Amino acid sequence: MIALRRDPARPLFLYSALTVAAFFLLLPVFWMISTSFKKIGAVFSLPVQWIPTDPQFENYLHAWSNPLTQSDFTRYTVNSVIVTASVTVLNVLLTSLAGYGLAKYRFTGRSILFVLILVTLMLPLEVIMVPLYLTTKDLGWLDSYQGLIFPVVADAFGVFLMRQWFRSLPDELLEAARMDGAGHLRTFIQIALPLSLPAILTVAVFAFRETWDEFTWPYLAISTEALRTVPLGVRTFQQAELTNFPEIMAIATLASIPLAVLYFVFQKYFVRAIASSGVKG
Amino acid sequence: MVVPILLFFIAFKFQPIIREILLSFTNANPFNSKRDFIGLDNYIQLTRDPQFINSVGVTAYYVVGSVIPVVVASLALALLLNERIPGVRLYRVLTFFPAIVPIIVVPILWQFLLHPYGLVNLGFGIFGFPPIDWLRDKSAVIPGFILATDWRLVPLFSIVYLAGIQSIPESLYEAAKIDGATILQRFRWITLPLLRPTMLVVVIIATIFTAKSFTLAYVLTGGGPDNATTTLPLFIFRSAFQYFRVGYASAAAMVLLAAMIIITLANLRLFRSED
Repeated sequence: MIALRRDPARPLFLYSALTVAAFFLLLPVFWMISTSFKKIGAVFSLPVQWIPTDPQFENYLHAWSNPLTQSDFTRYTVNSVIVTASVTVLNVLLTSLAGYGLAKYRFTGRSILFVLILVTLMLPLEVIMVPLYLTTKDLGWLDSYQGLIFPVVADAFGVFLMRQWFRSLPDELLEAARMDGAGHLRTFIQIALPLSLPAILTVAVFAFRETWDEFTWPYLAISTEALRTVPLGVRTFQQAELTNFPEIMAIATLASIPLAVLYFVFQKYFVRAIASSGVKG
Repeated sequence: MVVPILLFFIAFKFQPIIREILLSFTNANPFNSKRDFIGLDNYIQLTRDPQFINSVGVTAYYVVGSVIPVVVASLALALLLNERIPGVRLYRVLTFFPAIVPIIVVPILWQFLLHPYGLVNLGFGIFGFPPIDWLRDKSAVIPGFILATDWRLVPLFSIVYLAGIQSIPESLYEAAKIDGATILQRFRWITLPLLRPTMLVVVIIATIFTAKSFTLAYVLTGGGPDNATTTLPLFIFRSAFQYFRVGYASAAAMVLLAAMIIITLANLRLFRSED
């Protein structure tokens, strides 16, 4: 796959193929952004205005907070931040603790426990939405932050990744700490965790992406406007506006920014999370 | 140390699935506090429900139609992105963009792309195809769904493949080259066999992802036209949250779960037995 020397036509073919692929994958994104600056009448006008002649920046302000459609994206963003931050922190704590326990301690039933945790990968939200809704209702957590946070905190992928990481951490290191009189928890917090930043960041980026992006669960669990997260806000806005394509695309563009920023800042960990098959779409 | 997370798994994964199994044998609904055990009645009813049978067919069509192109196209893209040519890093970033578009934005964006005057028809029009009303035409709507799904999944899975390709030792290719193997032969006899585990992961995850997909159908078409996009998750949602047939919805969810398990096991076996 390396030899370019022999065939001069090869780079040409590669660049053309890559450019065609990138073109088709990016075109919809470009269309979304360009439409968000158009006037309503110009959306489907031909030829397509790729760069709007008269860019409407006020589409963004209008969509962000509109008393007519009662959309308040400042509020939805705050909600999303609260929920996503809580889930990410709890998720990292729980998965690293569990991964460490599974990797570094021998106890009866360890492998069964690990298999049981992996089995939950076959139990996505969509399969258990009915009983999960009922359970959350029994707990009195419908329409609350608790209901948005706790049911989605635990995640088998994070446990799996953390376990893999801790297994590669040399035992001697941890034993040395224990010889110096550090307890189990202290060894974990002071020795194991600081050495695990790459794994922690990978799990954190993954949990953040999952939670920020989640639509189905908040849609089931939340009915008051005040608790809407960004995806719910986008959905209600689209239903209220129906034909105001530019403003819908403006909100869609804004909603895409946080994940894009996450990707550019944490590219390495973002890619690692997906490459180790944390693909959840 | 495993106990804290275990409590969460028990409360929000194992307890619900057991509850769902039990519910699937009852006629539970939210207005009736008394629920009766009705045995296999829900399951028997499902086999006679044309709406359910339709949604099984819709889901199968959508899953198979999406997964096969994903398995092939994301491998092709990964092979291109693996080339050591100047600027390939830029292409890796550019082609990844659809994967960071939020799940809720995908149907909203594609609603416009698949509009009769939208970009897809405009593109096909260049090649002389007549415009299609993708979202209102019963026979075009699933292909439209597949287009939207694969647009987002191909970039994601090309990253998975890329990691797999990069873990293949360079020395294998060197040796093959010395023996005079052509690029196609190297792909056929080195890359492809060594990528089998990766391919298995791609097939399984893509299958589960599409089989459980709710948001796309719910937001893009709401299941229409004429139930042509009422996937199983949508059928479950409707039965439980619109018709309040909790027991019946639970039985349908058990069918979805069983299908996912069977397909996963079948793939595991298929990929192992060919060795």
